[in-house]
Amino acid sequence: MEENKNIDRILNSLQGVGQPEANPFMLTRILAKAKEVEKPTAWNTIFSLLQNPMGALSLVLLVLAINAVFLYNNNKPSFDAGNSLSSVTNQKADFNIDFKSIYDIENTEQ
Amino acid sequence: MQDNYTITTAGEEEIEAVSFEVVFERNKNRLLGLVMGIVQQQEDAEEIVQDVFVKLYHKKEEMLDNPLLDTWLYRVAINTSLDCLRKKKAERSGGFLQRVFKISKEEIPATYNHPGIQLDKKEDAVLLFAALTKIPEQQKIAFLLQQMEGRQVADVATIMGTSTAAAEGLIKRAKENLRKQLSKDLFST
Repeated sequence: MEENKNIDRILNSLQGVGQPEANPFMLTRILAKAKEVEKPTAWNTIFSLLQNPMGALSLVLLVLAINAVFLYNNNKPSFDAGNSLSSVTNQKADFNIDFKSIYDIENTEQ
Repeated sequence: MQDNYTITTAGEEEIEAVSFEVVFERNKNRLLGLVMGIVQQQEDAEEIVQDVFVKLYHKKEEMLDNPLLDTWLYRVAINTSLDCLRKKKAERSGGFLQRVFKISKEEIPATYNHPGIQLDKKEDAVLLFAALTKIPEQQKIAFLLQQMEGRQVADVATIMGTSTAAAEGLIKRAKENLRKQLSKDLFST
């Protein structure tokens, strides 16, 4: 019972708290700071976004996603395998390359 | 022609400066009291209040006539205070390099004396401020707005951007958690 009373008293100790007096030079400092600090530009906004962990993480994920897309596109198997095979066959015919084995290459004159 | 232009511009600037000054004078002590309650450091609180008014200065064209100016000021002050607390917490807990190079860290004092507290309540307030550091941020803000500012639940909800029921819940949970924490601090030994 006594314990609860004490706790209630402590919980209510902030009621009717007075307001502290701000430093008399605060306004002068604020005006000086406000004129000194540049208004945020678009670049400042972007950099401040990147300073935020979520912003930086999003950028990393975006870069990784772009990389993944490029890798996927470069490693995609080509579907014109038949065409390329036929072009090799044509070249074989055009240049009369019809070696069966290494023996044929070495003894072309016979 | 040039003179007229100069006079007009100077006059407008003067009017703006006066309005800003009026808003500053009206809110500075209230905001400082609340921010001191949140961060529990006089120097940090003054810095935060300065930052809030610098932000207002840059937005004075859109904010000075805004009916929600007071709410905006409170929100900016609360968010800046919470950012300051989080930054300090991160510095205390995650500073590997700080540990390696033993860079001194500013700690939140174990006991905090708010300058606005009446003399007979000072000891109780010290215990309460210590317990306040151990409850969740949102509960702490809701409790301080209600107790220090004497705000109604609806006002607390508007400032915190929540529903009245949510604000009421926050205050209730804050009181329950503070009660548990105080009970632990006072009677566990």
